[in-house]
Amino acid sequence: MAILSQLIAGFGHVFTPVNLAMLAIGLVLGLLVAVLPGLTLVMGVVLALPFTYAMDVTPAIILLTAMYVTGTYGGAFTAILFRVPGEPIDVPLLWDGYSMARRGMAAKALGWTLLAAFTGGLLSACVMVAFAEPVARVALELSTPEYFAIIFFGLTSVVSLGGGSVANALISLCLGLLVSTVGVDDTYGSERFVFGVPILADGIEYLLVMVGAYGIGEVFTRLYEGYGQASAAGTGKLSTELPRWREIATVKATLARSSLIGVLVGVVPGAGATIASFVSYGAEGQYGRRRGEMGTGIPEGIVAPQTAATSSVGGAMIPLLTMGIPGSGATAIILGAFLLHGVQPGPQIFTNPEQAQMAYTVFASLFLGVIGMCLLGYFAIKLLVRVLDFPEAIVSAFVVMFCFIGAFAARNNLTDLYVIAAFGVIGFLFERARFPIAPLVLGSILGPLAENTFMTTMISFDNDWTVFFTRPVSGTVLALALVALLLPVVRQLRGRKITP
Amino acid sequence: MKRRLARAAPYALLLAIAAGLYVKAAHIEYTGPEGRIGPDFWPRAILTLLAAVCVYELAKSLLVAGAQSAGGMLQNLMDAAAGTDAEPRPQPSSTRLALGIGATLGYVLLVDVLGFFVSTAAFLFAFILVGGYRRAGVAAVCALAGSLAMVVVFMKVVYISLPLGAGPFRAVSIGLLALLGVR
Repeated sequence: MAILSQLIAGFGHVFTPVNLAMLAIGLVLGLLVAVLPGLTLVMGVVLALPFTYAMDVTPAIILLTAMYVTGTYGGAFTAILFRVPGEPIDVPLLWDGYSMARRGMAAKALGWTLLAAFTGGLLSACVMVAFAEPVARVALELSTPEYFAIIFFGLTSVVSLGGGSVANALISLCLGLLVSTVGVDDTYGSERFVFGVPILADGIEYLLVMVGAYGIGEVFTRLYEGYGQASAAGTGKLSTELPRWREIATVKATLARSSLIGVLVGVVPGAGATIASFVSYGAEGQYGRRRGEMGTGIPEGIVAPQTAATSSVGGAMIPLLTMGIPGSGATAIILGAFLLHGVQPGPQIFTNPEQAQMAYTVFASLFLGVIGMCLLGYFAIKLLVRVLDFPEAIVSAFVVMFCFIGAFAARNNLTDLYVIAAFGVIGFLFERARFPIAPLVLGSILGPLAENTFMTTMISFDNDWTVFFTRPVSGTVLALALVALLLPVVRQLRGRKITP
Repeated sequence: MKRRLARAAPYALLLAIAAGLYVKAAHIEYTGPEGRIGPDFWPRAILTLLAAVCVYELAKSLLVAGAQSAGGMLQNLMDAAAGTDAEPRPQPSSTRLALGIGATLGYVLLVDVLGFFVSTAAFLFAFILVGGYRRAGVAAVCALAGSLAMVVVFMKVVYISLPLGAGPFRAVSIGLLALLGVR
């Protein structure tokens, strides 16, 4: 009941001019970013970050969260209509969404997408509101071995859930963790891997790794490959046709299953909307009622990935707000925004009345954001797809500039530009050599937390490393992490496959 | 053999880097209580793991023809997604990439001298053309308008102190800011 009354108060706070304006701007920008080729939702949130420096924390987080949630939906338009996935999240939509559109049912396919995003978004927002405070209360009881185990689980899951080589993902993760050790260490104050270079003495901020590898690295990759120009196939009229109640009833199990998968995958640190989308499509292909027809243009093939992608947002916000652990690339940026505004997310957030009010305002904004996103998607479809006509060469040039400004403004330090340019080149090389970038970025984000919790545990428990395995919670989570790490190897040995 | 060497090269390079950093980590100086693990423990643990994976991949690349690594849980779905791009694209171009990286590095080196407005306009113009956009007039307008818009937004609205440049370029930046009413 207390949660409900706080949420109602949160709705009241969203309806202030500044917060409402940021919500609206976030929704429009999120959709544009998702539609524009060469821009991903994580990049979009990164690019919006410098604009939040002059704002209060609440409107800043509302803006970024709105971009995050709409970013999981906007790319569906181009995937279904043009066979151009605006985001990696939208790739599964090509198999059934584009197939349905090619049969002249594009409006229907877009209707299923809207239903999925709406359902997944609202359900995950409900889960987030219901579980955030209880999880925070539990998190207050956890000690450093448990925190370390949770972070370790996040790191292993990003390695095992990826699409490429596990060994390359592990190498990428190690490099990310190493990057996070550069500079002065927190426990002893000694310099590590500084090599006499003053820039390195301050350490390498994860935002620089992220902006460089994701933002500039992606621009370099697309520059090397050459910019394409999307063209509309004969996919029918540009409108959205909502499914009927009778039709919705046939996919209710898919909606429920995918929402659950989305929230759970979102909660796992490191596994974001893209993984949720693929996992949900894979689960539908294995356990769905019409699993044999997946890939032929059926509603289930659209509903499963879209529902999971949008519902992962609420899931990812739970560890961010309750433990200060980002569950995805976008939440890592949101964490950065919190820290820049002097707010440390964590279990204490709900014990501080001012911060609790901010958290519930953000929760309320997510509900309104999901509704606003669907309304925008329904009514502004023609305008949205025209964005595709914008030359990518111009978009890319501005992306690089926003990356630079974002990196520079965080510390007002020009030398940070060298760091992100270097990570841009590294990101490009990683892409070429098929080393995934996500583990590198996650390693740099979670590295300091992992090291800090590990070192504190070792100091507190007299170097007794068995404590990680003998405490029930940390032991269980570490066992899960081990399973996550070994599962791909076991699957390869058994030759099992998840196919579309 | 050539293919095997090419496949092994990144792992050999990473192994060498890991070895070098391990030696460096072993010499991290600190003062702490006897028997307690130091600040070198964590990086050395990571480097050991990195080296172990590199050695494994290196050996596999050199010894096993057509060796394949265990893929992540979503390997097959991702493989299926690999051929889904419908955009017609030109041929990959190393020249375009080199020019793009050059323009980016040039910007990083020169922004402190040229100031934000001039260097940004020059960078945007160059990068748009490098990206293959052929209408130089439109590119120039985009570059100038974009640079000006960024100055207004970030210096007047968001209050970020962007570089003003040196010498005559500083005078240009200050004159522009005065025109825009930014103090």
